[in-house]
Amino acid sequence: MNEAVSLKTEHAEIQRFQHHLEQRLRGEGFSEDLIHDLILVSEELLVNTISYGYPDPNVSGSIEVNILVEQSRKVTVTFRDDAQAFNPLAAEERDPDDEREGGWGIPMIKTLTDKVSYRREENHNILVIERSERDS
Amino acid sequence: MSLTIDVYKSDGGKCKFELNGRLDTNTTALFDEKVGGVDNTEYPLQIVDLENLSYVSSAGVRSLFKARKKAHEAGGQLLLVKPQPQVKKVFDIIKALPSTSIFKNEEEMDNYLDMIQKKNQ
Repeated sequence: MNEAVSLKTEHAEIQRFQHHLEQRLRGEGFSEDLIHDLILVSEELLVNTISYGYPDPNVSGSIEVNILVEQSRKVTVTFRDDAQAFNPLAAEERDPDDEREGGWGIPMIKTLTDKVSYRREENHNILVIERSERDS
Repeated sequence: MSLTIDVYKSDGGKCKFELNGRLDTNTTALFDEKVGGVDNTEYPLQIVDLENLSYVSSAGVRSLFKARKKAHEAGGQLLLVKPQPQVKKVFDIIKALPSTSIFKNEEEMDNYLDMIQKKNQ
């Protein structure tokens, strides 16, 4: 089943979306492990967009999130925003031995999803994550 | 769910922070404030109890990392104890916090502290 959620570019919206996603996936019978991972990935992605995607404080944007649950027990979440162009997957990965702080969201997104892709389309960033249940 | 933090100061320069809830973008300011409010020279051993922490994001790990750095720079240490599996999973992915500062229970941490004490004698 497909579902679209609209978010304002405010930090308070992150928790609102996470709660929504949690309720939805729990209702679909997904494991706590998968629910936790997707909630976490959502925070990492939305924080990036809201914190850095709109540098002009007078300009607010919008984020559309599409949640698709397939019969094969796969979840696909599509984040579409009108922020400035930014491909988080192209950001430099952090060296684990590098003691500087930061750049830690990207390894989490890549590890906790099965597939993640980015494209720029009609002045929008579109990031798609896919995740199925994993053997524990 | 948000975050609550109970702070227990004890003799011998030990300060324990018990976290309950989530350490994420919305709650790191509270953690930073609580840890920042404790003098590292007066309390060189700081323990963060994670037993009731259900969720940590990279923003939360950044706060823990900064608190540990602050303790080390003052000649003290900050140890993490009893992380839940989902929190440990995040630590394992980010690898910013050395495994030598994370303990699965208090007994393991006490053994470590005994070993350090003997080494320094």
